[in-house]
Amino acid sequence: MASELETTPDVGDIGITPAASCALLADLIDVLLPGDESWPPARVVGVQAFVAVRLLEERGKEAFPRLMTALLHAGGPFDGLDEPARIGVVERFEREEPEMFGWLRDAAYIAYYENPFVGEVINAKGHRYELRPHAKGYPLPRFDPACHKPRHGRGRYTPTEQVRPVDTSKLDLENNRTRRWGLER
Amino acid sequence: MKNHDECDVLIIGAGATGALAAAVLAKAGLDVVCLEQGGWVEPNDHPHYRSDWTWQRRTNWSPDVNKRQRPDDYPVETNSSQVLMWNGVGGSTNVYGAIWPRYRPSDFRKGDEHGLQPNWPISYEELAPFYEQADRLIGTSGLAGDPAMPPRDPCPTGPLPFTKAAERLAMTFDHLGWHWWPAEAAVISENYDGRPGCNGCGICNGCPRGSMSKFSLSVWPKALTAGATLRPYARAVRIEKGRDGRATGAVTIDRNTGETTFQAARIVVVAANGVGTPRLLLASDNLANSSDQVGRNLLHHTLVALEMWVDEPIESHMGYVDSLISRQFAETDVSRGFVNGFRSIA
Repeated sequence: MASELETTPDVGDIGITPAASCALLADLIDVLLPGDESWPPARVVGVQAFVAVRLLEERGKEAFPRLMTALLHAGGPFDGLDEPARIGVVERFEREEPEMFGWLRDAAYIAYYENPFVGEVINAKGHRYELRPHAKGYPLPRFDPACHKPRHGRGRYTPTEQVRPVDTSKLDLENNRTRRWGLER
Repeated sequence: MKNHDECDVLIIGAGATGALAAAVLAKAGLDVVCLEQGGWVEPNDHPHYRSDWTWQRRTNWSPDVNKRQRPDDYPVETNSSQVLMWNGVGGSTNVYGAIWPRYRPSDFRKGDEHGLQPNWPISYEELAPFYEQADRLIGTSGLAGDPAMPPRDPCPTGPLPFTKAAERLAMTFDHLGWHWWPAEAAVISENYDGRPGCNGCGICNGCPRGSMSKFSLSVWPKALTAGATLRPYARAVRIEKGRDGRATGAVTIDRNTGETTFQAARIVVVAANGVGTPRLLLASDNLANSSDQVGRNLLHHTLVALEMWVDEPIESHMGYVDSLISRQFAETDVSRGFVNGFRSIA
C-alpha cells in the first residue's frame, strides 16, 4: 500500500523506520551546521524538516531511500559515534555521492539562513540582515560622485573606423575548445 | 477556425523585444497584436515577499526553464548550457538581473577583425541613438563618461549605490591597474516614470516593485496605452505564409479555452526567445530558412561566475547585485589565445 503513494516516501523497503530515517537526516544536518555558543545548531532550528520537504518536492519520494541507503553505506547511523567518526561518515558520503551531498549541503545552508533565530543572531553580531528584505529594502548611501566616480582614467575602446584585422594564425581554433565548460558539460 | 481581423503587425512573444516593438509600433499608429503563451506575472506572485525567496529563486523562480515546472513552460533538451527564458508577459525580465551594458563598436565589426563571424549590417554609431531612446523608455541607471566606451547621453537616473563589495573590488582593480566603472543597469536609482527607485533589497532576480525594469510594469503599460492588443495564454503554433512565401499570420491556440484561431497580419515579428523563435520558424514549414541556419549555432549569453572571499564584511547581500563593471579585457587580444573579449561584473 505504502509503496503506491506518489508523494510520500517509503523507506521501509531498506529496513529503516521513518523515525530512524528522520534521525539520520538530522544527524547529517548536525554535522554540516553544528552551531556553537552563539549560533544555534541547525537541527535545533529544524533545518532537517525544511530539507526533507524540499527533497520531496524537488526529487520525489525515491530520493529518500536513496539518501538513507547512501548514509548507511557511508557508515551511518551516527548514534554512538564521536565527532571525528561522525565527520568521517559525512566525508565518505560526500565522496560516494557528491551530487546528492552538494544538493543537501546547499539546501541545508539556505534553510539555516532563512531561519528567524539565525537572522536574529546575525543582527546581534552587528550585521543588518532582513529575512524578507524586499519589503523595505536596505538603507544604502546614494552614489556620491565625489567619492565613487572613477578618476583612474583607464579604459579604451576601438572605434568602428579603427577596427583592424588581427593575426589569428597562431591560434589553434580548430582544436582549442573549452572542454569542461563546453564540449563535456 | 475563427479568424481575427488582419492587423498591421503581429508580434509573437511579449518579452523584452516584443514589448519594445509593440510600444514603438503602436505609438507610431500601427494596429499591433501581440500573442503571449504565458500569462501576466503579478507582483505578489514573485517570491520576494517571502522568507524562502532564496530557495524559490533556485527552484520555481529559476531563470533556467529546466529547473522549473511551471505550466507556462516547456522543457528544452540540452546538455550544453542553462536555458534562460520565462514564458509570460515581460518574458525573461520577470527573472533577470537587468545588467545593461551596451555592445562595443568592435562587436559590430568582427568580420573585419578576425572573420570568424560576420560584421553586423549596422554600426554602433547607427544604433547608438536607439540605445538612448530605449534607455529612456525602459529606465536605466549608470554614469556617462566611461573611457572604455564611446561617449553617451546621461542615463535617465544616476548610478545605483556603490556597494561595499564594489568598493572592495574597485580597490583591487586599482591595485592591478585594471579598468572599472559603475555599471549600467535597467534598474532605476530614483523614482522614474511612475516607478519607485531601487530600495537595495539585494534580491536581483526580477523585481515586483518595478525598480528593476520588469517590462510588464515598465514597457507594456505604454504599449497598451498606445493601443496595442496583448493576448496572454495565446500560444502560436504555426506561422502561415502566402504564395509569395511571406508570412500572413499565425495559428494560435488559446490555452484557457483550447480554441484555435488565426490572426492575420501584414507583418509578423517573431520575438520568442533564442530557443522559441527558431522552434516556431522550423514548425512553420521551415519559414525564413533559406540559409538552413535557423536553429543552428545558438550562442547563449555566456556567463561564468566566480566567488571571491575577502577578509572583511562587505555586506554583499545588500544593494544591486552588479554595481561595478570592468572592461579591461573587452577587446580582442590574441595573446590570450582566443578572439573577442569579456566583461567582468560585480
